[in-house]
Amino acid sequence: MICNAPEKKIARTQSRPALARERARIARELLADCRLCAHDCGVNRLAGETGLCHATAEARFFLAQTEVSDELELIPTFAVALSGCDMRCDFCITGKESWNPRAGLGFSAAEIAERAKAALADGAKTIMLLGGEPTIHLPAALEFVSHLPADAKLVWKTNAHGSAQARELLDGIFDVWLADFKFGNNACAQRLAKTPDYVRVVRDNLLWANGHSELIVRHLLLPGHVECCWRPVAAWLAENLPDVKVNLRSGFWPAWQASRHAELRHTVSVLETQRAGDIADEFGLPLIP
Amino acid sequence: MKKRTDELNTELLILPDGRILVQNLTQPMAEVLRQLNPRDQVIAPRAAKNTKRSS
Repeated sequence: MICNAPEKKIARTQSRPALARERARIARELLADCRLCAHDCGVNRLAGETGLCHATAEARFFLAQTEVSDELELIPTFAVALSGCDMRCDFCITGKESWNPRAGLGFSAAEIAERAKAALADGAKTIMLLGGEPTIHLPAALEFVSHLPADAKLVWKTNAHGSAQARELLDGIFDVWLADFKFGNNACAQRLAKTPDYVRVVRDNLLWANGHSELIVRHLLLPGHVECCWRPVAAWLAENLPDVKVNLRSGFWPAWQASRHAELRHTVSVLETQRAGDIADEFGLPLIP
Repeated sequence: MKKRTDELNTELLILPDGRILVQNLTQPMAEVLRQLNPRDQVIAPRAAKNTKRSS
């Protein structure tokens, strides 16, 4: 059963580059009272104030290359990773860059778009914007899109912790939302990622994304969290987004500050991976590689 | 040392039991891993996702 009927997809009334350019301008103005993510800080990033993500108005990036590690239907993808994030996952595989919005190099939307276009010409199937978390750099992300071909397939790789305001600015811009659903309960989200009210925010965003674009949900299996996190995520997806593709990833490794948590000091066992697969089968989830 | 963003980067974690975990897999590295273990069903289709040249 679907709790909130997803809204219908909205047709663009102008070309995507033009729409993205206009939205980028609006998004930049909104940095004066930043509420792009669900933390809802309300700081003036244009004046140098910073909220929980520590990001200023300047976007930086730490990776831009063609990769084949994502979902098979999306690869090869030209992946652009912006520095900084609004969540604080102790196990973040790119914690050094994701926790520090000043990491990497200054992001020139036009220059990176040229590299993206070259990658498309070389055979990349999609262009993926990720982080960190790209939502906190929405003005730069939208400006980047404004430099890309209107028919390029664009992927928004997100932690799904953005605000309703951010969603409105993203409406009609990205073809695919590739969204994480990391935790099955708020206690784990608070303990491992210092993120309150996590489950409600992510569910709202997933329901919205499913109504406005193609949606793929990712869940990274965490050791010791199969029952408390994966099972409730799987159950909710089966009930509310039964046709949405799900990528269950078992390649967790103890990166960054994972060792702060005893259960995260090792990889996911073969037994846990099997149990997680059984849960997916139990709920009939359409898993994709 | 500062990571350059105009070079290809892949991170590998090789576990004692022989499993290899990968982050930011590029096609050239996928090809290396495929040669190491041609029967790996996760890597094989990714190694086959060729681009004309590395970006």
